[in-house]
Amino acid sequence: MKRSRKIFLLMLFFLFSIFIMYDYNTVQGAGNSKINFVIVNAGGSEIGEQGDQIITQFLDILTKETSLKRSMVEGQYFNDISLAKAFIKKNSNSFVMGSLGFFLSNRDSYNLVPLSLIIAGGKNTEQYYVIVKKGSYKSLDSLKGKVMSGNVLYEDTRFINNVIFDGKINITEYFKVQPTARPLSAVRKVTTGAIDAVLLTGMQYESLKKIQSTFQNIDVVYRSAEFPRVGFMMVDTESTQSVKQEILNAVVKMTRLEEGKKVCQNFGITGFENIPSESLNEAISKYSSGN
Amino acid sequence: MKRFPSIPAAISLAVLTVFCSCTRQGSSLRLYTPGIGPDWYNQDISNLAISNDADSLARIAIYLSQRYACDGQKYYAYRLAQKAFELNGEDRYIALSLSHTAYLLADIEQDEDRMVEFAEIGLNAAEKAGKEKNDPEANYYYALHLGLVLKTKGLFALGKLPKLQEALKISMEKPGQDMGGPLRVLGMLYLSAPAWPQGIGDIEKALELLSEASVRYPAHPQNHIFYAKALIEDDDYENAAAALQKAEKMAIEEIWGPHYMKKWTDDIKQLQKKIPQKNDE
Repeated sequence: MKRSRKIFLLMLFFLFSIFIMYDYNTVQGAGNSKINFVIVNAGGSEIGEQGDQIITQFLDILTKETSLKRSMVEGQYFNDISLAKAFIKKNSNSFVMGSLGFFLSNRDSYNLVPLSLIIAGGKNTEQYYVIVKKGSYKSLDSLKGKVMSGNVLYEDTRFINNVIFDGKINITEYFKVQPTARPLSAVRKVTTGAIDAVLLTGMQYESLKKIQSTFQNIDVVYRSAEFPRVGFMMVDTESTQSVKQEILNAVVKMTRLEEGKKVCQNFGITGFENIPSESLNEAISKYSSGN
Repeated sequence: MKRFPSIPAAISLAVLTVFCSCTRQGSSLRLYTPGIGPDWYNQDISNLAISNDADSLARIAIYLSQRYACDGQKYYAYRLAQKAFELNGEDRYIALSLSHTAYLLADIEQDEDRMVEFAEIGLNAAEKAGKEKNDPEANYYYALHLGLVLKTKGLFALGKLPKLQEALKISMEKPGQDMGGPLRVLGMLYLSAPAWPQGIGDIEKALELLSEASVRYPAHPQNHIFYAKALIEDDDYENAAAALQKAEKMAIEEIWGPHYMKKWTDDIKQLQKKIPQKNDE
């Protein structure tokens, strides 16, 4: 009786030790502080309570694929770049879902490292378009001094000038710039002649094709070069490094799982792809050149 | 002056008043104490003279199932509609009566699983009532129930929003049902769905539909509440405040009963907090 009790206690102690060790390792792996998932959607819409619920569900699915404790991971959504930057400054253990513009303009200040490209619409590249009302303007030159709108205009100005417009123009001097969080509304205004032009992302442009009545009434006067569609990056810290591979694997796996696939499709994402180290050189050099 | 005949009778009356106060405090379904008040939950409906007359059962169900009714009455109406549906599940009116009564229960149910149960029964009934035949009423109820189910699914609901939109567009052929219900619900869908290009969200369409709902059907407080919500999103605080004032004047217990009066008054107060006061500027 006494012996079996001892064995039972030993077993209990053993299990308890494993539990403690697992917990310790998990916390150590995360650098003893929370890991943040920061979604930056410059000029995007407010997401409200339902958006918070969506982020929570996203992290539930993602953490299931890692050894990270769910309580150690938090999600944040920002449609204002300055608020996102302030958050990242305070919470450096962050993985970020953001644009190429966000990466280029913040990679030095926040030690950002690109992790993967986003595949959307079968492409892993991003291209920007300037659209006008059909027949109203022929080229970018004819738009000088005119009203340009769109939510891309909330991106870093240097990125827009040097990368999207290849250093050819300074948008704040060239156009009357009217950033808007409602790009579709801006497109409608273009077709009625209320404004002159809209700067669109590739995803926005492609999605306009589904609204044929509008699409038939627009012309493209400028197409940017194609750049890698940087979507997923991290602030390089000891903690993020320690979980980087696990997180990356989980993100890639998400698009293969039935559940995760549905989640990603909601955002137009069909997959994630590793970033070849040299693929961003051109964009980095364009961003750094000029003013 | 009338006096209570006895203390036990007075206590019984007090208890009855509490139970029959149509759930003033909360909105979960409540059981009545047997022997006090109508036994909505357990009364044997097979004793009714119309227990085999599906059409009459459905008519009584619709008659009893109103927003202002107390929870028990709504549940009794649902039981009648369910019985009618068992007798004749192919009849459009009967199927609609079940969808309608199930919706009024799902809408007040606080337990999520039970809410989904009612909503799924309502969805099935709406399908039977002619959802696929583009019946505007069947599609309206289908959309209401689908909306409740999707509310619990979060991320996984996003892909289903176009289906909800489609049902509501069909229901718009009869915009006056439920006092501008199709305008109100479709407007709210455009307001809360993820915006273009990721989703069908479109604040301009939302404003247009909700403005129409509040002008054409001003009796329904939610038409003003939802319109105010869209106006706040559009930074039009002055008109939002005016819409909320209208809502406040219409969200009264005498018309809608205690549950909706409380719910809508809370919604109005929440939205009023979002409107910057002049001295805040």
